[in-house]
Amino acid sequence: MLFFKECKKIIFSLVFGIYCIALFGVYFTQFANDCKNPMEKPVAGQADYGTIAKEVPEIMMPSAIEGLVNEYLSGEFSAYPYGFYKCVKLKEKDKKKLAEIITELSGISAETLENFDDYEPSGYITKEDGSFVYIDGNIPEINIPSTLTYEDFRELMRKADKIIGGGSKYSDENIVGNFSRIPKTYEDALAEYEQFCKEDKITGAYARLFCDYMGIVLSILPVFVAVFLAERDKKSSMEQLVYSRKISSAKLIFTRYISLVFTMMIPVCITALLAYAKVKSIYPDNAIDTLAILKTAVYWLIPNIMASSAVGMLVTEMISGLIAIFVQSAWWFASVFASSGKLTGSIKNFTFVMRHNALLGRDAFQKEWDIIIFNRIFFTVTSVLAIVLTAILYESKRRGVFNGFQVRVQNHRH
Amino acid sequence: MAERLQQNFFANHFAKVDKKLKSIVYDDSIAERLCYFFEGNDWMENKIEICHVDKYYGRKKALKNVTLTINQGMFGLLGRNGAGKTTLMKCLATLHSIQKGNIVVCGIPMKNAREIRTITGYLPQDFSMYPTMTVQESLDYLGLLSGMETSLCQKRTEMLLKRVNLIEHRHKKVKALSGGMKRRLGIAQALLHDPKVLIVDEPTAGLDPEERIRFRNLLCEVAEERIVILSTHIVGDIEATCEDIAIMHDGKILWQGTVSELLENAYGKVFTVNIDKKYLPEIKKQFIVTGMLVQNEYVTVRIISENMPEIGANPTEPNLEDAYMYCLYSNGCDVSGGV
Repeated sequence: MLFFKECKKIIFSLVFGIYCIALFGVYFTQFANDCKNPMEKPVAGQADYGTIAKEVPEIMMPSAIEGLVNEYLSGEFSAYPYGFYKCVKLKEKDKKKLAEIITELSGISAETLENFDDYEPSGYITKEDGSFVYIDGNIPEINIPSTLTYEDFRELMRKADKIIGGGSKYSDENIVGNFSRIPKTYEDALAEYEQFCKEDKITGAYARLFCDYMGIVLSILPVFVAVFLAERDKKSSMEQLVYSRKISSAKLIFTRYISLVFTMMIPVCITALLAYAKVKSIYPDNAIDTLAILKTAVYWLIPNIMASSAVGMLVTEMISGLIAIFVQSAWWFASVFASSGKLTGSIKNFTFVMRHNALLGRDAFQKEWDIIIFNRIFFTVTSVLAIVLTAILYESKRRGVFNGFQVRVQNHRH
Repeated sequence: MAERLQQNFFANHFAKVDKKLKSIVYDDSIAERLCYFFEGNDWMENKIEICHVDKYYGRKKALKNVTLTINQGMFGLLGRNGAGKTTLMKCLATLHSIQKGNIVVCGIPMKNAREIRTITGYLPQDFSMYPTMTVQESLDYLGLLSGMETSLCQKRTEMLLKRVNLIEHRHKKVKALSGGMKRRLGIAQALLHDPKVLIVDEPTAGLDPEERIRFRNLLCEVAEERIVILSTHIVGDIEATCEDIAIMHDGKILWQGTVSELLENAYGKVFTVNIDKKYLPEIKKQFIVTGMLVQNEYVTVRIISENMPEIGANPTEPNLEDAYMYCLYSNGCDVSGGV
C-alpha cells in the first residue's frame, strides 16, 4: 500500500513528467529515427558490402605506418586516453624518440622527417554531397624494411602509443579497427544478415540499439527524480512528521527506492513496446522475437536506473541533493566519454554506460557476455548496498545522531 | 494477586517519594540505574520520566541536567524562546539523541525509539504536509507510516477530522488550508494512531485569538485519556489548559509543580502603583514591571518585588504571568528587559 502511495507521489510530480518527456524525446529523435528503413538482404554482385575489421598484417602495417608518419608531420596526434578525445602535441624529446621509431618502421630518416617542408595530409575528406573521397597527401616515401617482422611492428607501435600518452590509434585496442579493415564479401554480408534474422530474430539487434540510446539518458535522469523524492519531505516541512512515525527507516527507504525504480521503468517499458511496434512495422513479414526489447531493457537498463537513483538518494541524505546531481553528472560524463571512442565492443567490468551503437555485431556482443553479466550484477549489488547505507544514515538522522555533512560545516561556522 | 499488590504498593510508594528522591539523586549513575528500574514497570505506563538529561549541539549545551516527571493529563512546559523546550520535545519524540541521563516514556526506554514512536504523537513547531495532497490523502499516508490498517486508518481519519472540524475540507489540498486549519490537521495527524503521549510544540503560534481558544479546548479534550505535553512561551495557553507545569530557562528546569503552587510562590510579591509617567523609567530600573495601564499623565504599573516598595504601592493578587516572572527573577534569571 505504501508502495502505491509512493509511486503515486512520484508519477504526479513535475520532475517525473520532465523525465518522461526526455525519455520519449530520445526515443523518437534517436531510436525511431534509425528505424525508418529495414535492413536490406545483401544481393550478389553488389558494388560494396561495407568493411570489416580483421587483423591482416599486410594491410595493417603500411596503413598504420602511413598514419603515424602523417600525424608526426602534422605535429598533432589524436588520442582517447581515459576515453576522452585529446589532441596530443609532443615535446621535442618525445618527438625525437618517435622519429627513431618511425625510422625503424618506414626507413625515413630522422633528418628527412625534421626537414620535410612539403607535407600535405592524406586521408578521407567529405565532399559537398556527403560522400567520402581519399586524398593522397604528400609525405616522404615509405620503405618498410624487409627485416621488420609483424611482431616487431606491433611492439614499435606499442612504444609509439606510449610516447603519445596512450589511447592513440596505434594502441592494441585501436590498431586493428583503424588500420586493418577489409571489404566484406557477399558471403560475409549474407552470414551477418542471416545472423540478424535468425539468431537475433531482428528485435534482438534492435534491442541492443534501443538500450544503447536509452542507457545514456537512464544513467543520468533518474538522479533528478531520486533527489526530488529524497528532498520532498524537507521541502514540504514534513520531515519531522515522517521521522516521528513508527515505520522503520529500512522499510521506508527501500519502499521509496523500489517505487522509484518501478515508476521510472514504466516509460521505459512503454518505449520498448513502441520500439517493438516500430520494428514490426518495418519487418512485417519476418518472424521476430516479441519480448526481446523488453527483456534486454530489463537486464541492461534497470541497473543504470538503480545506480543513478541510489546515488541520488544516498548523497542527498549524506550531503545534499545538489551535490548528488553533481556527483552523478560527473560519473555519467566520464562514463559516456570513456566509451565515445568505440561504440561497440568496448564494455568493461565497470563500464557504467554500456554502448552498442550498431544493429549488427552480435558476435562482438556475445564475446563480452560474461563481462556484461558481471557488470550488471556489480551495479545492481552496489546500488542495493548504497541503499542499505542510505537507510542507516536516514535512521541516524531520525534519531538526531547525524545531521548531514553540510549541517556540520554550518555548525562549525557558527 | 500478591505480586500485583506488591507492585501497587511500590508504585504508590515511589510516586510519593519520587520528587524527594530525585532532588537528592545527583549522581548520574544512580539516576540512570533508577531510570532502568522504572523501565517496564506497569505503574510507569502512564508516566514519563526524564532523569538528569544532558544534550549538546556541538559544544553548546542545550539541556542541562533536566529531570522531570510527567503524569497523565495536560502538562505545560513554559519558557522563553531558546530556553530548550523544543530540544526537550524532540528528545521525547526520539528525534534527538541525548548525551547523558535517561528518558523513559510509559515504561519504554529511549533506546527503543521505534516502540516510543508507536505510542507517541508529535506536532512540531514548524510543519506542513505535501502541498499537492488533500487532507484525506495526507492522513492516509501518515497512517501508513504509522503502520495502521487501512480500514482503521479510515475510521480514525473520519473521527478526527470531525473532531478538529475539518471534515468538510477533507478533499481540499493542503496548500489551500489556512494557518489555523493546518494546525488542526497537525493535531489530527498526531492523534491518528491513538497515541498514549501527545507532544505539542508551540501549537498556537501565529493563530488568531479565536483559533487559539478552539485549539486549546481541543487539547484539553484529548488530554483526558492521555499524556499531553504542551510546550509554549505564551503564558495564557498554559493558564487556560494546564495544572501541572514546568518552567525552563537556559536548558535547565527552573521549577516544576502545579499552577496554584507557582501562584502561591508569587503571593505577596506583586504590587500595583499609580505614578506620574515621568517616574516610569526609574520604576523600570528598580523593579520588574509585568504590566502597565496608561491614563493621561498617570500610569498604573504592576511590579514584582520581594518586599513592599515604599512608593505607595498596594499588594495585589498575582496572575500566572506575574508568577512566571517572579519564578525567573527568584532563580536569578535576567528579567530586566520586562515591559
